[in-house]
Amino acid sequence: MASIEQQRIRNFCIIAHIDHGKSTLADRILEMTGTLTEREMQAQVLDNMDIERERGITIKSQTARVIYRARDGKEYIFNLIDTPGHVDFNYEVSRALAACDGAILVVDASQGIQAQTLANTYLALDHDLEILPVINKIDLPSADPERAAREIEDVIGIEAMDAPRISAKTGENAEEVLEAIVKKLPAPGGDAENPLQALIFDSLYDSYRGVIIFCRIKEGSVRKGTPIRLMASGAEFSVTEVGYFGPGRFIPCEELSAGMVGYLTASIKNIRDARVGDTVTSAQRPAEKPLPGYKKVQSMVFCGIYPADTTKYPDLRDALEKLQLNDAALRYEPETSAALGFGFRCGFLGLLHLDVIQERLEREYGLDLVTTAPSVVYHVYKTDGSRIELTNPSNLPDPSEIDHIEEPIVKAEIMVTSEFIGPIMKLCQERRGIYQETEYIESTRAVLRYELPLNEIIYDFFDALKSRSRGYASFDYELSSYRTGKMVKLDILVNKQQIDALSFIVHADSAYERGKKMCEKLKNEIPRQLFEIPIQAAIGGHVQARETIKALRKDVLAKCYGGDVSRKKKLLEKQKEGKKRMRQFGNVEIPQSAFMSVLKLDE
Amino acid sequence: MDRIYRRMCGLSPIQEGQKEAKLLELYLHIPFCARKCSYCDFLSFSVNAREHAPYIGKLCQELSLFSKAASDYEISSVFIGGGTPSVLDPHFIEALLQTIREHYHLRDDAEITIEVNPASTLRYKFASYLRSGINRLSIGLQSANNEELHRLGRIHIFEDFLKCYQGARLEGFQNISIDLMKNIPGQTPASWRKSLKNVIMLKPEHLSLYDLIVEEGTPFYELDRKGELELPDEDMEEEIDEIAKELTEKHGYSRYEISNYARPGYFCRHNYGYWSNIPYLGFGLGASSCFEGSRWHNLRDLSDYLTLDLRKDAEAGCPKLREEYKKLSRRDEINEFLFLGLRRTAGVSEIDFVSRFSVDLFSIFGPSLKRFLRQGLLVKENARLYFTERGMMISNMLLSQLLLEENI
Repeated sequence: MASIEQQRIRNFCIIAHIDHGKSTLADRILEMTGTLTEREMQAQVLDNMDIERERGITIKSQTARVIYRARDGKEYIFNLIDTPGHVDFNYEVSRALAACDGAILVVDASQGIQAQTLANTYLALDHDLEILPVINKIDLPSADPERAAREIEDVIGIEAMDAPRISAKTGENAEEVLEAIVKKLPAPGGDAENPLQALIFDSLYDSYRGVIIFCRIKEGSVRKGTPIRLMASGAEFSVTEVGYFGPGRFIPCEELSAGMVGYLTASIKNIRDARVGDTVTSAQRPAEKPLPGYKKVQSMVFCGIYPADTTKYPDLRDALEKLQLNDAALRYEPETSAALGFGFRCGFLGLLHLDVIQERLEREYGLDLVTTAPSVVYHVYKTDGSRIELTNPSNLPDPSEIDHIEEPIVKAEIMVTSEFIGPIMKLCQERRGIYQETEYIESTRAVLRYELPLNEIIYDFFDALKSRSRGYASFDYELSSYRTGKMVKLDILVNKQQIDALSFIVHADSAYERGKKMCEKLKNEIPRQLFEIPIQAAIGGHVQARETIKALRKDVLAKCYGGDVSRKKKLLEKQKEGKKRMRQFGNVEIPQSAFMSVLKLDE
Repeated sequence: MDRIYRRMCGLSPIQEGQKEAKLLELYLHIPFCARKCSYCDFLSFSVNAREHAPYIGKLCQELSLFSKAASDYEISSVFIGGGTPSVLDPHFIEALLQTIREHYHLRDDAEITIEVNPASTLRYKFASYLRSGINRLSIGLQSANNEELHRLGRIHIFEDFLKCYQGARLEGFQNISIDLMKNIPGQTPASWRKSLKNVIMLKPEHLSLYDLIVEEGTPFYELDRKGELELPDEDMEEEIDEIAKELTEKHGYSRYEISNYARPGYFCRHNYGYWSNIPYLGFGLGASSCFEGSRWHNLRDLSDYLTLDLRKDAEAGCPKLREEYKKLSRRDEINEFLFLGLRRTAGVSEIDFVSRFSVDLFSIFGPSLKRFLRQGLLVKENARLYFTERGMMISNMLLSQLLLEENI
């Protein structure tokens, strides 16, 4: 494999706004290069996980190496790294970009540039990637490729008039993309004779081989037997295997050298020794400096995750540990709740990330979970001068000890057609947004820039945005600063007993409204029980809102004769299963779903 | 045998060394109706009367075919239910009972019940029923309010019922049960009081007072989903239950099960058996059986039943006739003991439990039982456990709690 010249390698990724056809183009590239037979070709092959396939989103970056015989008669190696499109997963995008020399920017011919088109393009430019624009979905009746090309030139400022106009879905013109990759994207640099420097851009844990490191060789080369050192941790290992990525499988090879993308294993048992972003070098001839890593991931949203069955705590711990091996963005640490017992406070990139993790824990590890209301990280300044990073609302100190609280603020870019500017501005106003500016991309489309408190957007902002713009608005944000806010902790009391896991932090101005909705929501979530149950929302002992769940009066099966016994038994079993998903607090049973109800206050 | 059942039936306790009679109940299903009611999810059809004869023929064949398995048993009750058995020509009923007498050991004191519809029961049928040995009638009245009857999709009016009841008494029936339904759409506490009063005035021996259950697959279910079924609200429901309690107590009916009330000595022995672990064999379309530790029901497709070669199928172990055949596990039996037994106001006997399962009831259900006792939902008295009225009202919730916390 070493004989392949560097000149004939292209390392690239595909970036796009969500749903602009990134994964479809990736499939098309694999298909056209003959990597997959028809039979193997299943829609969106690079989306591996069940959840990704089901939701039609890419979460983890996937990598595939394909060989393309170009019109110049030569064979080229393409290392294609698929990237996620959702705003929550920008971090993953940035990891993938670090392994590439170029990026294909896919733009939907009918939708034009969207918020994440911009965000991802800027990310790619930050990594000094060459950008190849591709205009997709020309088969749609509403397609306007010329307008899309103009937008790319005007807004991003890159040449786009000769960008391939394709339909990844039908395959029309897709061959042009392959040629453009050869001609427009650069070959990797680096020298195979230099000391080894390989950037870890992802990793995977395999119970037989240990950690599998996904890396981009920037300098030098590595082969089986090479003693390596991981520069951040200093740990040393001997390489047991190197190889590259076939779609969905690993293909071992002799050597990986400068410019190549592939994997290596070295019987690394502890994932912490091989952190994503670290540099692998040779233990015998080490490089002087590690490669610049990339931005450390920042958890934006935290929530408590508890096993529904308290005895499953060790199982949950193991599952989180395993998930983290594949998802460096997931953070967790143990915590205890008076209400829920032992569990973990987990940090996520955003709500979708939280959702995906929760679903994977339930589906892949068969766990039944109780998840508490998500919260952002607040900076609490105490009167004694100390500062707390608060990830769990119930740890908020007594108000008398608090000097002030700062909340995270994001810079948001909302791209919207002019007719919806009014409603969207109103929405941002409601969410305590501070208007920055409006920039027109063309006569009918504009980017609105706002500063918004993160806690106003993590729950349902995206949905609200979509519904108020009939689906047309797109949205991207990044954390910008912390700012003092009038934040208060709203406590929820069920049957006069405070349930710590239900507390949440809100802005004082909306506390009453939120408290009231929370009580109404819980009234519907908590089934009637033997006695009447008051539900109260309180700030520092002062009740703001109250609802009452009436006592259960009747729950009896009128008829049960010979033919009804089996049915009755099933009914009781069902009722029993329902009870299993409840948590007992004193005399009151609260179903798991209640803990997430704060999320749905606007429904 | 279940002690509480034995006491209810007035059977003398067995002496040392004496062999206890093994009791068995027979249920015969008649899946025919003149018309299907709006709330009914039972297995019934309105078919041409030409279909009746082949069906009865099949039923008789089934009865005789399986009598051998029951040769050790004494038949304590026969229940002919439906559907509407009274739509049949009465000589079919005579034929069925004839078959039973020929092939089974029918006890002299056996309770033999037939369900009748007020509209289809002419007086000559009662005479014929009596001749065939039927000694108990169960009349499906449902309401004494004609508007409510209409809303239920019943084919009769109250006056039909009066005529029917009168006829039965005149012919000589001395044990009559009447079904009434609570929480009918549009029902009010006042209309319920009137229905119940009208019925009690006639002094039937037995009353079954059911709550309407909106079952999936019925016209009512569809209406309810569309929000067009006006069921009494919770307060009314409670009032309706209060009235039931008040009037039955006042007129000498005692509640012996969640929905059943009787004057002294007139409880339904057949139904009591279902809640007391008395085995039963069901014959006919879809009929359920619980026999020698297994439960099953017959197939539910009428034309399949009519064309099935019963003899051949029986030789192969009834793969076609019997569906959902299930051998009960110890856990199943323990659960059934409780959730069926506790339907009875007399409750369950701890001694019965120990003698059947060789383990103490409290060692399996202790925590929840003790909690219910403390909360006043359950009473323990002379090694007998029974729900209080409040406990019975929410028995589903309590029983599911028991199942959840069981320690088998």
